[in-house]
Amino acid sequence: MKLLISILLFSFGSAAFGSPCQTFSQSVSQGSPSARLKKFLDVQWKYQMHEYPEQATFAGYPGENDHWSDMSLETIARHKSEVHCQLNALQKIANMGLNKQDRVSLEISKSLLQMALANEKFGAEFMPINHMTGLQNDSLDILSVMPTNTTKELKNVLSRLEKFPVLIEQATVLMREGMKRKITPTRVFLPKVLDQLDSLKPQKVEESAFYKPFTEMATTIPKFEQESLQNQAKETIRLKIYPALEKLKEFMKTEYIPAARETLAWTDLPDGKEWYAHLVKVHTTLNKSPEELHQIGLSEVARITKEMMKIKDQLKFKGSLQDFNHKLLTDSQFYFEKPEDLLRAYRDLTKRIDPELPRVFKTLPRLTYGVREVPAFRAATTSGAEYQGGSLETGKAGWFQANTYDLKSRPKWEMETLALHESVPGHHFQTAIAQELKGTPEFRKFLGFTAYVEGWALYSESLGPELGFFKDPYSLYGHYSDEMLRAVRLVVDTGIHAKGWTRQQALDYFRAQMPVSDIDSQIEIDRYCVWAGQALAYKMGQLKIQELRERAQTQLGDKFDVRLFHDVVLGNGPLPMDILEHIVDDWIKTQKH
Amino acid sequence: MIPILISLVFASSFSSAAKPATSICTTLNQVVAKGNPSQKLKNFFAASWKYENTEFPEAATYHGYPGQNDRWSDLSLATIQRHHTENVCELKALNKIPRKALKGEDVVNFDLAKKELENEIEGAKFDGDYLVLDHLGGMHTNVSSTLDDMPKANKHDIEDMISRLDKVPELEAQTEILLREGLKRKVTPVKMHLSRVPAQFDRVLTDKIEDSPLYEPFTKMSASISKEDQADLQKRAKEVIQTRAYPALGKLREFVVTTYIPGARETISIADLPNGKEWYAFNVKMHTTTNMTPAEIHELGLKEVERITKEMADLRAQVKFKGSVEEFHKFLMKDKQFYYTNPEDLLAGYRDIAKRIDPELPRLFKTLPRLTYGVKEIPRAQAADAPGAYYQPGAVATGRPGYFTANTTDLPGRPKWGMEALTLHEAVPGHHFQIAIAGELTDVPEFRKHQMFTAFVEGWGLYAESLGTDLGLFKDPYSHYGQLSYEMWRAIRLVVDTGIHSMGWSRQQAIDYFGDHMPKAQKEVENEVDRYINWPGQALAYKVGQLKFLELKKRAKTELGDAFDIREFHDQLLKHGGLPLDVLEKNITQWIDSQKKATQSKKT
Repeated sequence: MKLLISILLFSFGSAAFGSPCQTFSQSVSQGSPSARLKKFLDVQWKYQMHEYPEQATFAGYPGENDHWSDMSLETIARHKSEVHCQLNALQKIANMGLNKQDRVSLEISKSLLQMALANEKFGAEFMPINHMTGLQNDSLDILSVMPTNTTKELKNVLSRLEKFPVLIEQATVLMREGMKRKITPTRVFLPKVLDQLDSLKPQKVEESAFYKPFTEMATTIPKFEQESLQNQAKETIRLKIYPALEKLKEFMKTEYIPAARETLAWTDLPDGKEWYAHLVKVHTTLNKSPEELHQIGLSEVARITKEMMKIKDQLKFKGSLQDFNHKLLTDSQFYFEKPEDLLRAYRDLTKRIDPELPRVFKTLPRLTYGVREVPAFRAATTSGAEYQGGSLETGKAGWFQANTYDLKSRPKWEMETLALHESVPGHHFQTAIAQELKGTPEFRKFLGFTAYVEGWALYSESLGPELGFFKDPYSLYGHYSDEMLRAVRLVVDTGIHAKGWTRQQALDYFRAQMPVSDIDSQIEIDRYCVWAGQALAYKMGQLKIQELRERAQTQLGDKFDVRLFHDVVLGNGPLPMDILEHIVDDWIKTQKH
Repeated sequence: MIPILISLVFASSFSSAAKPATSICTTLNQVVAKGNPSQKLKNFFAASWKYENTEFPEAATYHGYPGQNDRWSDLSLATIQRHHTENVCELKALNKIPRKALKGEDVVNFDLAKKELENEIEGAKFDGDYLVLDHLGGMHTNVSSTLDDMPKANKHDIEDMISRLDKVPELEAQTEILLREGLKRKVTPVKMHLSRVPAQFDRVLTDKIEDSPLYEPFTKMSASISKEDQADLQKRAKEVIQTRAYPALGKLREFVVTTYIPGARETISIADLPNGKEWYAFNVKMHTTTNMTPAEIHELGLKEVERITKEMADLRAQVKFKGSVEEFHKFLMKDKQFYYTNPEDLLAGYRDIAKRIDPELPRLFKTLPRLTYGVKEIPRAQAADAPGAYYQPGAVATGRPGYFTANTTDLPGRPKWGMEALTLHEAVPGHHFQIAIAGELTDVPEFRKHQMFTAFVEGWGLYAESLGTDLGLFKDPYSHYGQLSYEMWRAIRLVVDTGIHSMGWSRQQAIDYFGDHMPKAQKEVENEVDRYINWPGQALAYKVGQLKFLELKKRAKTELGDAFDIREFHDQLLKHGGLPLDVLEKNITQWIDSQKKATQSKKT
């Protein structure tokens, strides 16, 4: 879920059909406000799909699968100017004449463009590669979701393979520019990228991830054509991609890494203080400063610690909270021995959640979901569980994927909270409802504001008691420790990027608050270092939804109906939290009468 | 199966005390005098829906229709009589709407409403009104299960539950009068079945009120009701159970033991009741929604039994079992590997299967219901005489999920090899799926969302079992054998039900026929046969309905060839809610024709 979101947030802007600025301004030149908006969004969607073809691939939008986003300096500059054009065009749509849904669409669209505008001056584009993101990861994800059922579709894959070296060249230009401007990731994380690059070019080309789309082809493609496609793919990978990767690796090893900065904090980058404050706003979609978030984090940590203490005492555990955490991590009673037993337990659990939902939700999604393992090839590097979306249209269910790798790190006490988060009423529930919305413009179906999406999932966990879960004190503890993770993120992310914390300081703080293994805590902290501000979204989103619920409850008293409240929160799909707040406030007003 | 609904069908020939301010006859006559035909029909449905829900408050509870939850249906003789009369004037009013001037779905709505009223009126010729209590249900079990289904979201909801408990004595008095009248007319259940009823009373009238299923619903209040309020409401519930419900049910038990059972009939065939032969023919027609005679159905049953016997033999050969059919069935019924020893494990097993099916559904179905479902056990008070499982419908409006309700007593009689077929049938894509889709239909009159034609509903349930392989189940050959034996079970019903009620079969003869053809524990077989004795004709619906669904699928596949899309086909079957089979067939035939035209125009 993460990838699409980040692409959408940072990408507005681009090239090849007419002059985009002209098209945008024409789209709003006549007709009713609603007709103008519709035309504009339509034009913008096409623009978006063409300029950022990776998005088109994810969205299943046809015709753009043969190329990559152009990351040349000229095009990036053009995209920036086109953000202005789009905002100008939007000014020409009068808010007054729009219906409720249109107004929401307009607000979201403006909000996204303003974020892109504010982002312009910082130069994020000059850090295209780090150990979490970059062409060495993202491009392969995109190749893996491209349709490959026909010769034409496979030729699109071939075309992208052929253009991959260009992507590498453009990234190198951007990194060189970054070196000049002193905009680079922290040095200590970069050697991992070298390993990642190596893993992309195994001795045998057939084993390369680039070749994967050609390994099992549809039987409808004639044999001779299959072989020809395979040969072309192998040749391109060996003769074009491998050398380009090698060159990139060499550049990184000898030039980029030595020149990379040594400090951790985002504030050490040019305009870093302002930049981090901007990232905080982008990710939380709220108007709070890093310092405020740090304080909220501390008070949440204190509150949750108290709850955890209560449970420890209730269980009559003698020893400190750290000792208790250690017991939870090591006592074999909390762990399954067979993968199938874990999956079976999740099926049982999710089937116990399902019937509790209608009491608390008025509108439920149609799409069903199942439980299965995280695919083996990713299991070692994936967390405890994840959600994979489906599609009603194409007849694919959603999947709650539980990680059955290393069962000693999959405690029973985290199962309830994890299932609520990933499946229902968390990610599956929210995503499916958003996909099934009728009459919203295309772009809204694919939005994934982290604060909203992850805030919702975390809020879903907090519905556990209302839905009849967390009756077992260990499960309740698991819930708090999951919430603690998100509270700690507020403290640590702001600590690292705005308050001069060291990596060790962050690690120590992290480990002291919850039952977590050394390796997991390291992965977490490194992620916050690289994705500054991203990890703030979870807790802040949850707190906002909770705040809105409390506000509605207080103001509506007996008239408050939780099922209607949830309908309002989910009924527009993902939103920036400030827009969500307006919508809920409006709803409270209408409910009062 | 869906026993609650079935008993509702019976209950809907009863009704209520306070005479409405304006009689339904007057209201309906006014309604059909105004507007264009489509408006007339719409207003007719609105008025008659309101009538049904206010006259039968338990139905309102199931439908999620608001405002009726504080009372019971009026079962007085006078009101029952009034309802019969009102059915006649409902039909008269409906007939004043010119059918020819209606279009599209309105025609179906009209036909279905008409059919239902005609059934009601024809059914009134028989003495079903007096059969309100037997070993499969009655107020002694319905009071607690109705409370269980009521919403519990706020204080007002709980007050309604207390109010219903407070009114149990009136319900008891009316029930007793009906049973006495039945005795007089010699319309009663069979004596040997009734002998199970006193123990059912005892499971409700527990020593400690906290243990009673009447009290249990009060332990499930929403967390949004404050702790203090909950405690207060629970206290009041206990009081009203103690002072009102217990004495009334105690009195009814006494009557059943001393009067009703001794006076009940000893023969098993409905043919032995007044008007029995026509009564059976009426039931057969109503439950199957076809024009087949009992003799034709008997023949069809024999043919199906023969076909499935052969498939079972093939599968036995495949698992290389050495021994006779009897030995194989004995092995299936006795071997420990096939049985759970812990009720919670059985439920977890069902949940596991259900959650394996859920994600497979979008591949075969384009439209899925929004309402979720769960798995729970049959309440203790009912489990002993209840079937292996049943489905309890939910209601989106009041936030009640559907439930696949499984019997967790007598675990040595609940084989693992039957679990997949049972889940497919009761949960998804069977009853829950179909009934929830019907309940969520928009643009149809309310009654259509809740109409339960047994042949459609149970035929669909059995058809759903046959989808198991496509949904990734039956990988274990024993589970596949389980499916075949479940299908056999419904084929046997055609033979046995008609045998008992129209061909003079004895109970033992029916039991033996069962044992000869499928693996089923003796006690289960007896329960089954006793059910057919009690609900003449009902058990025919399953196989007759399934055969129609299979026939329509085959026809669509043959006629559409490559253009056949299973997701689209299933949509067409379910998108109108439950229908009589003849109406369904007409719809599908039309759809096939339109699809053929569409593909032809594409080609040209």
